[in-house]
Amino acid sequence: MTDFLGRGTLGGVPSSPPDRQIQADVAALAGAIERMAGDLALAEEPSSFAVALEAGARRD
Amino acid sequence: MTEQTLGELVAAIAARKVSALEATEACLERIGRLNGRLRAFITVDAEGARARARALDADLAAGRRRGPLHGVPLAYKDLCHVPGLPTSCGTRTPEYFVGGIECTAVARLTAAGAVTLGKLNMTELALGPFGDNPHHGDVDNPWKAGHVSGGSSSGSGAAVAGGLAFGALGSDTGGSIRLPAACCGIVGLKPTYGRVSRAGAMALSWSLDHLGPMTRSVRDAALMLEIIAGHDPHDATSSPHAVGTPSATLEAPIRGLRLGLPENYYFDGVTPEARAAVEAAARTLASLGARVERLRLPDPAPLIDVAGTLARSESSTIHARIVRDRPHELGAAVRARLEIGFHISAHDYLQAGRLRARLTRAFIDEVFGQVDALLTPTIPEPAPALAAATAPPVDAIVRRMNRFSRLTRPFNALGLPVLAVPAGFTADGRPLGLSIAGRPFDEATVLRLGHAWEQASDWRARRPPV
Repeated sequence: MTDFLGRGTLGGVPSSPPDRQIQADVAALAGAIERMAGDLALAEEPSSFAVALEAGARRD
Repeated sequence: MTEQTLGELVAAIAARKVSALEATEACLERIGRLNGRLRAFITVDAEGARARARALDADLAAGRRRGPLHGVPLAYKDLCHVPGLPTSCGTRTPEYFVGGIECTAVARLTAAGAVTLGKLNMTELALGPFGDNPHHGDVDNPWKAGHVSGGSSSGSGAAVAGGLAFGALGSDTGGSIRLPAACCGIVGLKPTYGRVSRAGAMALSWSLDHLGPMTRSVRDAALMLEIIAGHDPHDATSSPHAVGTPSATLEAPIRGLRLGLPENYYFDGVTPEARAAVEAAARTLASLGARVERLRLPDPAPLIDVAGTLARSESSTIHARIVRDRPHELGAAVRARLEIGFHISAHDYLQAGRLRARLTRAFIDEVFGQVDALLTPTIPEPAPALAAATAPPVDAIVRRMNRFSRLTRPFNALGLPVLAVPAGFTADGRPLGLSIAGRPFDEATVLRLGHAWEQASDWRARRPPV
């Protein structure tokens, strides 16, 4: 995205290049997510989390 | 009077042994005397509290009892919107959180008869586990001056431990109820995700935020939970699952309950005394008839990465405006953590949400097929000196933050109920913490176990030296 002056923005925040520590943190998270997500079922969606909680409740 | 539990005060007011105004004045006296050191409150509404207490006393004299908390003075983390009071969320801006509805949890406590004393200090934007705040002062540990009070609900922990309020609300995105509860030697409950409405409270991460009670006894936590739990049309994530009356089953025997002590992760890098405290609690619970076994849990590392991706993405989205317009107002570590989220892709954010669902389902199936609850330390070490915990550079602070909250964060990703209870003290008087985690919506069992441990131990008789 660019703003009206042609500057890069991310979510409305000027996207000056992130410092090395932020780059490293983002890359570490992205790498971990990528490794884990390779075999996700097509049917899996974020809202399945709430379903998992309800299904996991004790049935007395 | 301020050494009583919330439950004891309820009974004393109902029996006309003490008035709501007397209880309120006792809290205001301690706030006046101790807040300069503890810095637990950001806003004290003394006149509002007195007026409310007088009205409640008049009601009781006329035979009208508003509810189960009639006349009990409480205070709320300064991210709960309470009409008529500013909500800074720990920032420099007194009215940072505006335009929202009244916090549903606060409204339910008020309807139950509680008196609002004021708003409690917190880590800036709820982003940090140490209780430091550059705008409102660092919350001090009531047990040991100059030491971490825990965060981000730092004022809630210090106010309840110090007898400045009979109970408080905190919020927990990565441990922010449980860490200050452990550091301040009180009880904190992170309920199941969806159990308590988050409406009217500043969001840090929609996917991971929880509101819950912070109290001086397990019974008090159960009483507050019963009032604040339940579906709320103002919070789309709130569950219709009935909470029941966990306070009514606290005395039920724990014989036969299966408790798990994790073999992996949860005792790695934990100080010997923090480990010994949890193992001693496990032996006590076993002596009461619980069956304690060691078990290997699914690796929590993926949960940490998933929670980190969700939390960083959502928090930077929610608080983009202050990062864009007034970044100089934010503490360096808070700004650094918010900035990460601007660089996480939508693809990774959504994959993290999908992974969370799979990991949670697998964890529940595997773990709760073997045990009814898990026992872990809450903090890996007793509260460290604040100056050491917050010493620059920024990346070192963030590393220390991540280490201090490493035992609590997985449970935010999983959404499970976790009760933090005191587990003894170090030789120099700092509290140690035990966490009891249960299956979804089974707060009743974790509260029952916590109550059994509380009754069998003598920690509640100790008071901080303030």
